Amino acid sequence: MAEGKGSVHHPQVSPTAPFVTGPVSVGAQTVLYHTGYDEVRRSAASLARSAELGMASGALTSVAFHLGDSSSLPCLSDAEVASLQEEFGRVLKVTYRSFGANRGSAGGQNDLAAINAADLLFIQNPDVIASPRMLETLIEPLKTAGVGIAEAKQLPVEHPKDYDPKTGETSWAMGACLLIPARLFKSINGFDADSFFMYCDDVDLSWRTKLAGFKVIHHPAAVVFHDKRLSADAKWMPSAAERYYSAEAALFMAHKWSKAGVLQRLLEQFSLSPHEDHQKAYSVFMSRREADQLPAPLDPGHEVGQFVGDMYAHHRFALL
Amino acid sequence: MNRVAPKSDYALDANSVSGHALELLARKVAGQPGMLHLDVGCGDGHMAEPLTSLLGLHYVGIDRDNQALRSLTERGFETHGLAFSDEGQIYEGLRHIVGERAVGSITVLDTIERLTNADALLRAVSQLARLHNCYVVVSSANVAHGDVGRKLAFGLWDYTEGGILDRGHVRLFDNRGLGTTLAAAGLHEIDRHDVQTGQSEQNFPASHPALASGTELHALLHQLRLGADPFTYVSRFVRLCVPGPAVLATIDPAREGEGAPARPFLSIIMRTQGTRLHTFIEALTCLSAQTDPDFELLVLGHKLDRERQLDVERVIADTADRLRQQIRYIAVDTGNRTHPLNVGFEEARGEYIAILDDDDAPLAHWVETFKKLARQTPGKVLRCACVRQNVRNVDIRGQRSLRAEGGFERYPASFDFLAHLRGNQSPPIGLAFPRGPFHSFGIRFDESLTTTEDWDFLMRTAAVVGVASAGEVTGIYRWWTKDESSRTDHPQSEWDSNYQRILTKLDQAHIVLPRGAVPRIRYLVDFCETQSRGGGDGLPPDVQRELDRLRLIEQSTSWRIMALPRRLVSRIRRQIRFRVIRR
Repeated sequence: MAEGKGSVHHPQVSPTAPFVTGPVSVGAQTVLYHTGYDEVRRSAASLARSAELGMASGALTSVAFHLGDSSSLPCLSDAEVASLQEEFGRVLKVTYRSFGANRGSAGGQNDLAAINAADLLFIQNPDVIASPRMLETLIEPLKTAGVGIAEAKQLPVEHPKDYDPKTGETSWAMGACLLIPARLFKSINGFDADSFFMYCDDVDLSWRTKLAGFKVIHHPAAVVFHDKRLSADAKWMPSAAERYYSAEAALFMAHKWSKAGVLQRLLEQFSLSPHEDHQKAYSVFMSRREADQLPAPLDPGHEVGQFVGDMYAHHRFALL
Repeated sequence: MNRVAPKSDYALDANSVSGHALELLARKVAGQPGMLHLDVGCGDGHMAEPLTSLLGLHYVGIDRDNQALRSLTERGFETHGLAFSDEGQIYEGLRHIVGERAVGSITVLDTIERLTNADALLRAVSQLARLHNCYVVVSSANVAHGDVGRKLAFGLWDYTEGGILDRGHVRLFDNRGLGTTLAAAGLHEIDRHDVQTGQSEQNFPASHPALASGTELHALLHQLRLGADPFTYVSRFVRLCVPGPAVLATIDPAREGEGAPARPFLSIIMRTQGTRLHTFIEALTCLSAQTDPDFELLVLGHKLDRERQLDVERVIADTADRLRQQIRYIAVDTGNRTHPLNVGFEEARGEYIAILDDDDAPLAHWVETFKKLARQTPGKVLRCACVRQNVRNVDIRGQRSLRAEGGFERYPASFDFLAHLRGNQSPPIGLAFPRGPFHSFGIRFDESLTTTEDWDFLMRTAAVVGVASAGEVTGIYRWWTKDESSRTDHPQSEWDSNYQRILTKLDQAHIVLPRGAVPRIRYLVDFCETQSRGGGDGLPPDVQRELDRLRLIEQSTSWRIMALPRRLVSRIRRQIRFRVIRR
């Protein structure tokens, strides 16, 4: 088995010291995929306001917004990028790069992290709108030793995964809005883009953070808006990509986090499933297995990974 | 001056324009013998004798019609002919008549509606009144009398000899038109004593369904008109004014028209007590993410002390520029929790008005979906689907935040008027009201209600304009499981009392039922009868009477307008379980 990106290296960071002890710089980064200018602008405007307030309060020294474009053709023109830089440049350094290929969320975020020089990386989705004091609020948990990731609460549809109502400790943090120290991100080799294209990369990152001795904290006082819709019968509406990549990721998660029983069950289900998504996920996983390209399993004692049914955490309620 | 004794012909009818004008003057004008009273457009001068005897003023009749002045002259009063041409000529003419004498009061009664240049006459009168610092009484016919309106609604417009639509009238006034005309001339109303006529001379033909007082149509129109303004019975406006600066007519925000400022699509009314800033921040964040920014947000701070108000203002100040420019903070220091809604609706500039609680979570297309619905069905109440989610407060790292505790429970996707007669199934976050019913029909939130005021308002509005539903879920209505909310702020007895009062109001109202209600009623009647037959004892006489009445209504051609069968609804209510939204 290959020991590729995403396996645990000896961290150069210690859970005995907090990551934030004074004013820090934050680099927000997001991966665009055929994202419209207006959407990017709204997100940048909210981030700029949060940056402005964070710097005024003394919590932040600077804030950058790094846009990486996975679209087949650039989704922002030079003029649009210039417009963003001009409108928000006073408080937000905006950078844009086109990857020229679809790098997925994990690959794209790793690429952006490589050019992100800030103390803290704010990993976000492009359609996320920050509340005004989100950044300075989300930094708070990182002032405590042993905290590796702080996750903001999403509006209007709150994620149902459980968290401790007193400490905020949770199983994993969503890549739509999480804050992680750059040193920690690098020490655990960032996202495992080889195994996870766009789904569960955040669960895997969170669990490797925990494996390195750090906690993942959900901090609901820091809120962001993430544009999620409900169906007419009030159910969650996953996109086609989410349906497929969640199936593929489920296999890789079970394998990587040493849940042989879960993996076996999923392989059996997917191999017999009439759904194209399941069949395709099965094929991809099996071909990677035959090519010996699966990641090395982690957490053999199941001290970190939580497999609760098809979820990666206990859920407080069901979002059907 | 030679005077003849007042003839009985000139005894003043207390309910006439002259009688009301005299009473207004008597309220204000102290007796100053020898001062002039100018009666501009005096005609026969009906008020000359009583005014002279009551106030001791020297009456001067002025009219453009010398023939009309003859009677006054014969009765021994000073009279002058004056052409009502342009402002300067009229003013100079009046000054010439007055000379060095002092003017104590002026009347312009039933005159301005007969002139094409009434504005010039009023400006001249105002100028003279300012010079003498005296009162002016102006009267005119009310073209918006209920009788005229009910006829015009069905294509009837009848001039008569005398009365509201006198053949000699060349200009028509309603209350607002008169007010702006007077203000533009520099005459400012300080008192009024309008002449009321329940049935005017316009009340014909008597058999017209809109005029005959016993019809359902008349009752419905009358009910709506009474809500719109208090002038349905007024045949003549009689207004006491003082002179002052001319105030150019401004655009009445309640009315559309040329020159009216562009409105935002939606005004969002958000009440806050400043006690849960964390949810307030969430609500503002949701609004900052709206895909359609065509809205204004009115934050109604209700009875906030200084510290809380600063907290709320700080949260508003934190928002990004674009949203901040859309927000107005309004302090409301009086009334119960319903009062800020009336204040907010009054201040709202939007085409539609929505209530968003400071713990609600609208989805990104909340405004956008309302707008789409409004374009499809203009003027109706807009209703989108919404879901309920249990929440409670948690404190993590010293910071309070909201925690969802349960999944989504959906409220009915579409509006069912009959079901809403039993209880509310529509949280405010799912509704947007057209501005018309509030601003034009005077439908207000009932401030005597301390709970479920939104249901009461919804039903009274829906009964007039109807409801358009979109099945899309656009909002999350937070339901507190442990912490304080309006649901826990009021005892159960208060909820029950308010509930019964709303039912009583509904029962007494005339309501326009939506298309499709008849089959539902038919079903309910069948259901009750079936239940009754199953029991074998038949229905109690009172219920049977209501059923029979329902059947008659259903069979009649005027089925869509009906007073609600209260007892039947009550009986059905007991048979079917329902859920009432309470906050």
